[in-house]
Amino acid sequence: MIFLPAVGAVLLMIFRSSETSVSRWTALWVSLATLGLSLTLAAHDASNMNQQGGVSRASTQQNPVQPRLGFRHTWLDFSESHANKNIPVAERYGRGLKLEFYLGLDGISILMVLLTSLLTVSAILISWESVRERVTEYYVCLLILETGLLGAFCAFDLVLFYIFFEFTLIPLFFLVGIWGGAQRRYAATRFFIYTLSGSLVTLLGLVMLIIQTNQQIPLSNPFSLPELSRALAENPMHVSMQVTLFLALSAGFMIKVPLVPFHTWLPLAHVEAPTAGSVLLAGVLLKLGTVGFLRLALPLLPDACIQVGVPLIATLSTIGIIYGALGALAQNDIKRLVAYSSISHLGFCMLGLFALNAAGISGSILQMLNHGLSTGALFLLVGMIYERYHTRQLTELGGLAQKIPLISVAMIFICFASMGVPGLNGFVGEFLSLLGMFEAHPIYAVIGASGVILGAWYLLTLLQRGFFGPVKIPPHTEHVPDIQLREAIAVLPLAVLCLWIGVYPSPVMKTIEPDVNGLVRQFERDRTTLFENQNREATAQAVSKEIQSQRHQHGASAHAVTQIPVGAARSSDRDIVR
Amino acid sequence: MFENFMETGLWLIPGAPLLAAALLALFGKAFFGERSHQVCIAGITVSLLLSLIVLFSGMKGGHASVSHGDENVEAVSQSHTTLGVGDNGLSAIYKSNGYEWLHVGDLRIGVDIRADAMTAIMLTTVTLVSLLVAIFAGGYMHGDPGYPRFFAAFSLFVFSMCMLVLANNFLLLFVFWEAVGLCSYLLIGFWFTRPSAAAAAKKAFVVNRIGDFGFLLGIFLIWTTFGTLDYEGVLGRPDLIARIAATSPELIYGITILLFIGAMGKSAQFPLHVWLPDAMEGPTPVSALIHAATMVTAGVYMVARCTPLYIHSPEVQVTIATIGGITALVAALIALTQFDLKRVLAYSTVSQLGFMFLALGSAAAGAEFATFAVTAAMFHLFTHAFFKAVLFLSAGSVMHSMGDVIDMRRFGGLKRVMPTTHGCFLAGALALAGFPLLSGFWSKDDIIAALSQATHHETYGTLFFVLWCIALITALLTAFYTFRAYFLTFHGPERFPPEAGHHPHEAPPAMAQPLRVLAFFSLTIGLIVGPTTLFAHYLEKTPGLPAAGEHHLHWDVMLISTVVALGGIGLAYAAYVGSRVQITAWANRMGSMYRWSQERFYLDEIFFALLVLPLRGLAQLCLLFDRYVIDRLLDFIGAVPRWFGRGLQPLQNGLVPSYLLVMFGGLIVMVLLMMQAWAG
Amino acid sequence: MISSVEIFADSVSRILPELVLIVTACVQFLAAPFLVSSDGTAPAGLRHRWGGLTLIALVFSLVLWNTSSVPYGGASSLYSPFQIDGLVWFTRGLTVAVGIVLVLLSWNQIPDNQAAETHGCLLITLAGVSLVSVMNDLVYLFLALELVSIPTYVLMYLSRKDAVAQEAVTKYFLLSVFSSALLLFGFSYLYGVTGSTHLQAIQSGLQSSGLSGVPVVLVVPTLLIIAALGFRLSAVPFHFYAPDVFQGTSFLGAALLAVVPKIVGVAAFVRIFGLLDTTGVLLHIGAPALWIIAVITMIVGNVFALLQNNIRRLLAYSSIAHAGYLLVGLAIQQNRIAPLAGVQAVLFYLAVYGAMTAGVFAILVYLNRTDRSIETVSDLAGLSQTHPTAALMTAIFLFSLTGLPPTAGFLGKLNLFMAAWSEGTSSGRWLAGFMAVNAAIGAWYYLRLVATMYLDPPAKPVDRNQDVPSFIGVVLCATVVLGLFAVPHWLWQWIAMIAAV
Repeated sequence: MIFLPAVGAVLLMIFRSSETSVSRWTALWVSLATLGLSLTLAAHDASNMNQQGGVSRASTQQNPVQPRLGFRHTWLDFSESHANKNIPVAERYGRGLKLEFYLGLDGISILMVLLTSLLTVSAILISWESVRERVTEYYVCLLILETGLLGAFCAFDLVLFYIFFEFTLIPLFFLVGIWGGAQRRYAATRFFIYTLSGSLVTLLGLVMLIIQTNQQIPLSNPFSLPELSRALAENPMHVSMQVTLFLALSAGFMIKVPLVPFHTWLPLAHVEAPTAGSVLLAGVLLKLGTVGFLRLALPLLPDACIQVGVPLIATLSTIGIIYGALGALAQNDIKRLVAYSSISHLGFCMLGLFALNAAGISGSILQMLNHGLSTGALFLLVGMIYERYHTRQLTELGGLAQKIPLISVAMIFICFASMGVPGLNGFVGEFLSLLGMFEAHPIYAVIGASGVILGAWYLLTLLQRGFFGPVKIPPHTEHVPDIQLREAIAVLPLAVLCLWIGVYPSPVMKTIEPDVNGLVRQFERDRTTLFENQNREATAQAVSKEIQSQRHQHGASAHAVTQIPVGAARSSDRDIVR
Repeated sequence: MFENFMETGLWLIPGAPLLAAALLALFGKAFFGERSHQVCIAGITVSLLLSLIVLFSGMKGGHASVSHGDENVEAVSQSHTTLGVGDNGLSAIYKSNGYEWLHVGDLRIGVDIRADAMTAIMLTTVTLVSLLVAIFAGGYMHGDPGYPRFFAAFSLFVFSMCMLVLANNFLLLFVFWEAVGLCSYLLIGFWFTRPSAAAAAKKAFVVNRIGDFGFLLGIFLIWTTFGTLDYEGVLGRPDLIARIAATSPELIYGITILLFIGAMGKSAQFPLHVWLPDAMEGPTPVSALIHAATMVTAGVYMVARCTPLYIHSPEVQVTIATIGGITALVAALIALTQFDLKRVLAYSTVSQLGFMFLALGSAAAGAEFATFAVTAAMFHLFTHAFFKAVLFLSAGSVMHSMGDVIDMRRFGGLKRVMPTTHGCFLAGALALAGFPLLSGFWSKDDIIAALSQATHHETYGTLFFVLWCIALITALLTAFYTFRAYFLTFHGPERFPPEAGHHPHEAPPAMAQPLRVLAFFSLTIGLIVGPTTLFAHYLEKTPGLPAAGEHHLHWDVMLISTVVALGGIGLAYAAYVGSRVQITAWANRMGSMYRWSQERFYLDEIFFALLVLPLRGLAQLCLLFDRYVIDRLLDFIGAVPRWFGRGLQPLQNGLVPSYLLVMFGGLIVMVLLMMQAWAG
Repeated sequence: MISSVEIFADSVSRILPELVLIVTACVQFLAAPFLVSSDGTAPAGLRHRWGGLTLIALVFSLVLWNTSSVPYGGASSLYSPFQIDGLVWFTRGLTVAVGIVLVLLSWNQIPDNQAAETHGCLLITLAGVSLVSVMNDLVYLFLALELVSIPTYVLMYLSRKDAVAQEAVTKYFLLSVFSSALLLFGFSYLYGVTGSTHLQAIQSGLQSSGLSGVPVVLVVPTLLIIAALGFRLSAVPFHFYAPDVFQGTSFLGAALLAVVPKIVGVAAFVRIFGLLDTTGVLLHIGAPALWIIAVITMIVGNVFALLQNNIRRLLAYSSIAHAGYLLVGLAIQQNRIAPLAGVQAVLFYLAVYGAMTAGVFAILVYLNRTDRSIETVSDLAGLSQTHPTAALMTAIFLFSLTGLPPTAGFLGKLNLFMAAWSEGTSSGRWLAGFMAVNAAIGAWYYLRLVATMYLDPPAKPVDRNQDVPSFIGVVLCATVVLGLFAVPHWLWQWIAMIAAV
């Protein structure tokens, strides 16, 4: 499935046709086929889950990270280099070092894969007419980008993940650089160098992680994420080492996410990128950073996450929420505004992630999905507007709701989804993220929640200035068509999903439940709360039919319990020092 | 069997308007067009009928528990009656579980609905008023290009509001809390081509969001404290609340104050009331329904619903009372000098909401008074819905006939031209002013009585006395400004603005009929359910409310308020019908006070200066920071290698001897270094 | 005792592939004058024949490489100047592969009348490279090194004859001689200390004498050897010739200089410093110096490359930077429990480097035409529109040089990272860190090339080039660059075998 788009791309490249429509249709069919495949996989997974029963599955998962489907193929086996005769066989044993081509699917990757394949279809549809130059190459880039993204989400080998992680830079560089706006070259270069610099540090961190683990615990394959996470869960690394590793790994991910103050590449890249590029960049590419944290930092370096991750990342993401929102507030360019809103949204995402509890992490994953859908759709719509009026400046636009009502309705809808109005998807993610954080560290959640106010402010300002009020459009654009069927097909699924997740998020939650539980367990090992005991006790009593006999006892206990660290005890005070 | 029917029937209460909304949103323009209002009205009618069933079955049945699992809760609650907290536990009249909305870790949120006495009252109020307003709007909005859109949003609002009151957990409450805000946004900004409407819509939403921010945090705190968000798990466990309040009262304080912040936003309490007057940019039926009768009372409903929590935090209740008092007084003062008829009514709404919170806050007098205080608030909410709706709709009718002119200085003496409207407005105005025996009179009396009870409180007695005085003054002012508006509009010489055309007309029947019905309710509903304690006894059945004491009529209070109401009306008559000169002189004499009132105490400006401007400035600062600090820093880092290279470039001069020199020099240096390292 | 005849036969059998190359070269040198008439004109298409012959020789030697199964570490290796082990196999294979590409690359670049000489010199150089890894004795090693150098001068002169080229050749010659002198001086020192020129004898002598007291004496020869080999690798501060010479010479010469001396340097280094042994005394002494040189080389190479506009000069600095990466691997000391040894990483990287650098030069040769020469970066502008395939290939090479997946360059860097980290000392970790920083700087100028090709509009319309051989070279290199990423195991098993000896 992952390589299907790549195959398509190669085919396109080989049979480069002068007839642009051939490229378009090929790309579309390939992306549709990918979408179909990923849907099939998701459905397969869902039926599997149903057969096994969600709860039992959740309890049987032993590893913090464990794919449900997997494909492994040894790729580069370093262990043979240890056929060194100076090292006794006994010592050699178990010190394998194998790069594996290890792809797998767990709940998280299923969601991300679906998102990617869906957004790619939209991206192809939206560029149908707006891209007129070097069409074949354009679709090749898009398809290759899709491959990279899919691969990164499915990789369960550390190096493989990194490979896909970095690989995505290349097609995106071309997308921004060739088909971008006026400053495209600067934007593409900056984006490339900036993220590459960060990810090199990440690579260093990965190498560190593998070597250190390998010296500590004999593993048959230290590159394999599930094996590594299991080993480290049983036998954690020293905390100071974890902290170093965490910082190294975060370097790349923080830039990718991006967290303030590493965000400045993002608005630039977004503004210059073609619509499809923006859609994929915001919708999927940024998630590589969060998925990186989720996949690597959380399961492998739990103590560092608690000790450094929470104060550092949570602070940065809190700042990011506010900063991004303020940045968006001050924008005049719609695309730039949406770009800054991404920073704010990703802040929620990271905040939830580093709540390190089930609610927070689930919320965070959901928020990744949501942001992909809503921001992707926003970029699609902004692209449509730009195509019609050739400007994105709010000062030059106004009253569009009268001129292009359907696009405006879509815009309003997506804006509401994006600002987290309940009933639409954004709310669920934000709510869970903040709830999780509130449980763990209320102060971050309190500050972060104020981003909700600002979010409403800037998005409504956008609507007010651009779509309401008297008509103000650039000259010579009096008669422009409203949404086209093709464009509607690109946006509609996203909008429907926004509504669906908002109204009925349970299926999504079920999909990621085992993975989240697996992750969370290591953070919850020592977390028991008096309150939960009380709760249990109360439930037990409620269920019990012998209420009469317990009445007095309970009445007494109400006075007997003198200290109830309710709430406070729920924070994660895990003993870190070993 | 009937109960089984109601389990699904309960879903139809919000379901019918939702269906209507969906139909209108999807096919409104193409299929229904000018008949859109019929769809909406049909949906609401279904809701209303079912609500009435719920209401009356509640009257008969009392604690009729339907759903499974309720026995347990009830059993627990029975087991705690000995604790003396009163009739606790939270069993519903009807309860129905929908689907599981969220299940993450320990967090389980279901889309479950429940109906108890309080819900039934709210539901009936909401659906009844909605129905009447929808009928009115069918005439009022006739010919508007966005006709289907209007009724789609309208139906959506009714759905959300029903769900809000039916919700069985805090999250669901919050969801629909925001959803009604969304509908309000859509309806305020209905005429989106007007910049002022778009701005007002945004302002309403954002200010509401400030309140929601508090609400959200309150929910978080509930979750961390109780480990559940279901009403049963929180409100239905007074013993637990009592234990927590005994050991860590700050948690309960936190929850209650945060929830109240939410209520402040939605119910337009000072200083978050600024959005409501601006919301009058929306079509008048919207003002009547959302911004007077139903949505804005959601805050009152929520605080009332959470009484089990609030009775453990008297300080918060006092805060509520204080803010309620300030709101009531400030809004009444502002209303005195406004010339925009709808704005007068809007401020009057704010003021009356303040009254309701005054009542809720007066529950601080003690747990045994709590029910009485809550009843007073809910009763006022109930009556207010009718008379404020009729006032607004009458104002709408005036607008409709005056060509959308709403400035009272530009028309007058409409008594003869629009007799029905005049009569209905008068009925509403009398009720609002608290004219004896009309609905406003009874509910206001209850509030003042609750306050006077609270003055006996040992710690806060003095404060409550002040608040009691404020309440009376406000009541006086209310009577005055209401009748000021009434006299200015309907009395005096006939004047029409040019926009009205040549023949100002009476409202068409579609608009007049609902007006009459509402006016009838305004006049009588208080008398029917008030002194007969029908309302109070019904509301008492709400699970979670502490046992109430004896009900009796407060003759002393009634006397005082009668005097006050008549005094206010008399003053207004003297000022606006008797002689016009006098009031202008008065106004001049008041000087700055008058201007302050007219300019709404400059609150909008203060908000702008203290919040909006600094934030905008900060936003610009962020941009500059991005551009000039972060980017410069990056450029700097990027430039370092280049500078480094430039600095070293002279070495690469193309001359072999110099190359040799550097090579050899490098070698020597290294040899020396290594020698030292290995030898040393 | 083994008779001298046996020794001779044994020796010949050990260097059979190299002999094939040398014999072919001799044939070419001898036959060429007869085929070219006195006025210097040669029959058209002569270069095809010579090229074909050279290719055949290379392939034949490749066959011999694959078939000659001399047992590893035969008992006689102590008595023979030629030692056959995994390193030799690796170097030979690499040399021949690079040789094939170079031949393809030079195919149409040289006039018919000089084809024989050029190919002959090329073959001898390649034979020299191969021999460097075979030599087991300091004297022979030196000879082999000179066997590489001397034809290189000729080759560089042959391929371009203007004043600039002459200056470049002269420069290279002078500096090269200087480095040879340093090497010789170092060797003699080594001989003085250990009393032997035989490498294994030296190693065992150093080991048995222990480290106490010896190091100070050994510092000078170690550093001299490092300096001399550093010149081959173009390590700072012995790198100065590279940019000037690259700029001054032809693409062929530059390609030769970019790849061949690196192989030589690494092979000689591994040999002399006994990297395949776990207790290299000399390496122990030289490691700090190597560390410093590696860091400086990386930084200088990358930083200067940033400033260049001339494409060959840029590539020269790029090759310097890569020399730094290679030195990273060499500076890493052996660690018993390290999962990955530095030398393995270096050898892998060397192969990858050879493929990608040769590829870049091949593509430049392919694009370079007399009427439109490729000199500056801007000459590449818009390549993606005029030569889409060539642009794609170049992009692959450049991304490989940057170290991005999915190219072998990524795996090479990854291996070096891992090797540096698994040394287990803080100096190794610092090296890895410096490498990461430099990789980021490096990305900058490679990306600039890519951007020029893909983002800029074409400078002027050009017709399609028909230089088939160089294009075959390009495709070969691209295949290797991508192939080594997809199936790195194929190469790695050979490298793993080297350590197994």
